[in-house]
Amino acid sequence: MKSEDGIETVVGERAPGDVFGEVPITLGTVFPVGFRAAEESRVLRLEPRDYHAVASVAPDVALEVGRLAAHRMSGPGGLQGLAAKPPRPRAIVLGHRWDAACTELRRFLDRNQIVYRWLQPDVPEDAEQWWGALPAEGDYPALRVVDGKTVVRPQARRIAELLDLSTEADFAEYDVVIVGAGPAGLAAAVYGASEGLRVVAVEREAPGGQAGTSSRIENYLGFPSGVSGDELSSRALNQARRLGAEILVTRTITRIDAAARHVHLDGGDVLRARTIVLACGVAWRRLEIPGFDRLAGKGIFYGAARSEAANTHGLDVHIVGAGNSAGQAAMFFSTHAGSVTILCRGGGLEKSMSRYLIDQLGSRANIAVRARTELAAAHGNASLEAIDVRDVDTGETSRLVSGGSTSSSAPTRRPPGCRPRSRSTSGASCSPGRTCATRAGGRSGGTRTCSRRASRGSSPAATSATPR
Amino acid sequence: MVTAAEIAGITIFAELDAADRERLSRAAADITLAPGEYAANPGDERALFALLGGESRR
Repeated sequence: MKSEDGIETVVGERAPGDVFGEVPITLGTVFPVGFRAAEESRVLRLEPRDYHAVASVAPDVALEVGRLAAHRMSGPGGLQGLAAKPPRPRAIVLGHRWDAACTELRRFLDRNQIVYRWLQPDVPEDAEQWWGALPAEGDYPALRVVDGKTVVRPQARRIAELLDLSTEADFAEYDVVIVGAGPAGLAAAVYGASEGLRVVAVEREAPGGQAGTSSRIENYLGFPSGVSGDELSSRALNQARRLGAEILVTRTITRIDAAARHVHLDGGDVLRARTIVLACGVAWRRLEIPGFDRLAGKGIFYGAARSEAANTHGLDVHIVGAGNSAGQAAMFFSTHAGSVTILCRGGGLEKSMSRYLIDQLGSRANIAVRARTELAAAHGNASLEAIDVRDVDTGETSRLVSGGSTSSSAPTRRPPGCRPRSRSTSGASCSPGRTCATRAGGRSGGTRTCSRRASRGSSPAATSATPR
Repeated sequence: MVTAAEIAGITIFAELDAADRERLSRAAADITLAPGEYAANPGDERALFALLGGESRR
């Protein structure tokens, strides 16, 4: 069985006498697909060491298993073909590049791991692919569920309902009600459900919490090569669900009656619980900088690396913050953007960022650090067009200006006083033209961002992007 | 408990000699699955399974 967006597809069958698991046992990988009994069945399971013990005395067995694995991998119906097959979109989004509501909608879909296609109404070939009349200008963004309804300016709850995300609790009473479905909430759900408790986790946005937006987490136990936040969230979510936990999304808690152990949800629903676990996580602190709120989602993004990186192709990205989240975002953006500059109020990254990450940043030619610098203002109308940065020692402010157009081919100019780009992670640099800045707070409360001290554990990442 | 005779019924193990079939039958875990139950989930660690009776879908 292959699962995509929670929809399972049968990709093959086995009859008595057949084996399965030949691909993982041959390649040393995990199971790429699941195997489910279609009827009551008996199977034998051989651990790798027992299989290899047999294979060592009976080479024909190893040859046959290898041949089967190659067969299963090949062909359009094989695992290779399945892996190469692009996932089928479940929704189509129609909205403008710099529309904050469209950015929010895309972010919501990304965070809930919904495969979707994004069309921009001002791109002629995109508009042609939108079946039917385009919505009125004030009705963007629009969302069309594949083989389903079309809605304009949808709210998160409506989107969740249309896409069959779980928003309603199955029961009125639970052993455990968990507030929040970030890593801590999902862990609580896994442990509770695995003990046979009736568990529900209530999440106001999407499973994974703040960690779900992280482009890479390299110090999480059990992932020797690191793991992306959305992959970690996806695995945890699958684990919790498989063990029987319910995960509700787009629901907020309006009140908790601790004495009665009642959890009040928006809309008036009340869940009765024997135990309530608070796993609320963190909220990003917004930068109180002129222009930032107005341009949020229009070139300025918080914690946006995974969902926005592909949209910064060739742009100059500025990341505000000096913690690990900033570093990981810089690494991720650097594979898409023309340049990435970390704006750091302190003298360098050493006090706030892990050593391994500083070393990785130093190996990327298009990443620079501008130390002793803070963000002073953001400018733009429909989208971010420029940012002002201030030297914290001299107070001198310089503007990183775009060409004033949202066109990617618009001209650019180097801002006054701009120094050559540095490859050093501890040096200072700026880049002309397009700017796109991500605010990323740091680890353990020790990080200073360009504007203020980051709160413990929070990893805000505001991205500002001004197209060249 | 998996028997040596059942091991012989598995295509890839059909040519094993009696001693190896016996050894394998002792090493193999015997698992009964209800309809809809998973023998392996995506992401599970590697192992080799053989269907003794019933039907499995991947």
